[in-house]
Amino acid sequence: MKITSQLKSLTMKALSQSMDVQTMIAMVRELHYNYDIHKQTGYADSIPIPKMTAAEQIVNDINKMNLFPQFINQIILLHKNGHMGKKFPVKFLREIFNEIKDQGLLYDNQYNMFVENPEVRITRNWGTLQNNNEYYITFLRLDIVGNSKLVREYDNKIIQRTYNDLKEIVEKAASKRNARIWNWEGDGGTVAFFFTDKNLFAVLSAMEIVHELFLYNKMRCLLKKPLGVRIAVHAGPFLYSDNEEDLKKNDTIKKLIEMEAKHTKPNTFTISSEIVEGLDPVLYNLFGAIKIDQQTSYYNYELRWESV
Amino acid sequence: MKTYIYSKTKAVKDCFEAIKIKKDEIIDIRNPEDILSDLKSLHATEMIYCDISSYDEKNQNKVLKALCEIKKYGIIDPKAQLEDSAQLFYNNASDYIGKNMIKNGIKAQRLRQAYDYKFLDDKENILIPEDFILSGANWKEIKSGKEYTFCLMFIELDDLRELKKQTGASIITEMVDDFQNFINQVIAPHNGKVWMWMDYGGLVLLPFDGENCSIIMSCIKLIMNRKMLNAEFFGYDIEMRYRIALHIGNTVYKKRGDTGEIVSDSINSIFHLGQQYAEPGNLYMTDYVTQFIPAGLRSLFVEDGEFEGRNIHRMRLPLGH
Repeated sequence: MKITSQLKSLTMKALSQSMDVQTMIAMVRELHYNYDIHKQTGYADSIPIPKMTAAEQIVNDINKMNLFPQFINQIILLHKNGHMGKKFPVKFLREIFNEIKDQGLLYDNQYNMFVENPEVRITRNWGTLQNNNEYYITFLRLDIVGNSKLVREYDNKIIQRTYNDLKEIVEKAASKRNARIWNWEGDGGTVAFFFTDKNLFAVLSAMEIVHELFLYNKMRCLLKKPLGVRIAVHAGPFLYSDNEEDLKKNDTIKKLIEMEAKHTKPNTFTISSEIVEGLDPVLYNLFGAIKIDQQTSYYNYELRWESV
Repeated sequence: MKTYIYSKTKAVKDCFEAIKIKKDEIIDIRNPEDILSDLKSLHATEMIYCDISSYDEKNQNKVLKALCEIKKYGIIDPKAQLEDSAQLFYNNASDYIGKNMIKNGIKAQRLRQAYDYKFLDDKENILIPEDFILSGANWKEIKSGKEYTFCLMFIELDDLRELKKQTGASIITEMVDDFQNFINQVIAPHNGKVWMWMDYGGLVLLPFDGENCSIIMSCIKLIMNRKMLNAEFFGYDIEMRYRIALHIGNTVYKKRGDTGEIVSDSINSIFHLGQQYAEPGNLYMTDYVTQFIPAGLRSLFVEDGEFEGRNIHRMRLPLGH
């Protein structure tokens, strides 16, 4: 996100005209726990810092720390919830919102954070997830069945074309639901869902992929047999990292891979109990339970047709 | 266009590998021994070239016999073994590649011609009844007051008359409005227009050029994805279910709202099919429409009897949906 001088100026005015210096410091410390305004401004501890000076220093420091969107979140939360039982109606918020919107970000009321507007920009972290911060994320994993055999059996051009077609199906299902493909290797990949109804969106994406692949296999597939994929959907904590390799180390992803590889038939998808809880009843009845052990059950969806 | 070459002759393989093809075209050189098993799963849009010199005499006859059963195939004859190559064309072949062509090289255009030779033949098989007045693929030439052949799509929400008594009129009105907006989005890419709208559904008019009926694919998806649509777009506590009927036939065209005096057997038929014959949640089509079902999806449809003198086909339902 580009921090314009107009945005900095509006934020300084919002701080200095809406709250005292102690409240400003409390907000900064939510993001940087040992922030010392006296040290930063050079004022002695015993001398009170003027509100405009404190606001200017904080805005510049926050900008240097690359925490501007998060700091604006804090200001919005202060406006909504107050601080220590006291209300703080923050001035210039509308102007700040408009300035940020011009930068291609939208405010997500459910998660109280700015996220990129997918019509303007699409990045891996939705423009908001921070490295080494833990988030609760819903993942969809997809793997092509018998990849090695297919690669041996078919000409490379056919394989490339078929796998690209599959990727297009996945991209279409994911992007319309504001998900991000975090990893795509030759034979499958991992898609992340974070905002809005992330569990529902992941299930709908998986179902769309199964349905579209059915049609693809019937109408366009170049292989002699239908292209098969296994899909799993699971949600859990994830320590965000820009590095794709870190995906494999995460326990949520490990469970996802196990669900997909060991408990999913080709061209079906399996969801965990975390996903099935709270699933729209319209969809819930489409799943069959798979008992894994005394404590664990998974739920599987398969596109089957009325027989005649 | 996808072309399989079955050959173990180096000159043949080199010749086909040298052809400059477009991005969306593929030439795949395969083992001649696999041809009989591959033929079982050959897709309707794929073309086969078979090098008969790759087989001994006994297997040549076996392969040629099997190839007669498929629509798109060509024979490669690098050793000029066939005495009567013209006979191949009486046996369904689309092409013959002889010794000289292998020597001089083949152009991609030749493969496309051979492919189209049978493809065009397929299109010619589509019957256009004498009384059809094709409207064209869009609305450009369609004039009010004149008769044309259209694709007619009836779609109506099920169960709402009963639900209206339980839930009240306002929620039902909201659902129907949402549904109509959604249908407008579905038909827009096919140049469709909602022509008549009743309480819970309506009749869509789609221009028909005698070659395509692309709305079929969208109707298949409407049935296949109904639960998903309910969860993602409609979001009501009441699950929305609809039935669809497709027919191709003639009617005088007049603007929406000005249709009261139209007398048309096709319009009557589609309303009767949708309102009297169709079961909730199902997709039906009359005989003529079924010609336009994409080849790979024909097995999704079953014959469902006769209604008002027309054979009716119904889409099998996805289980649980």
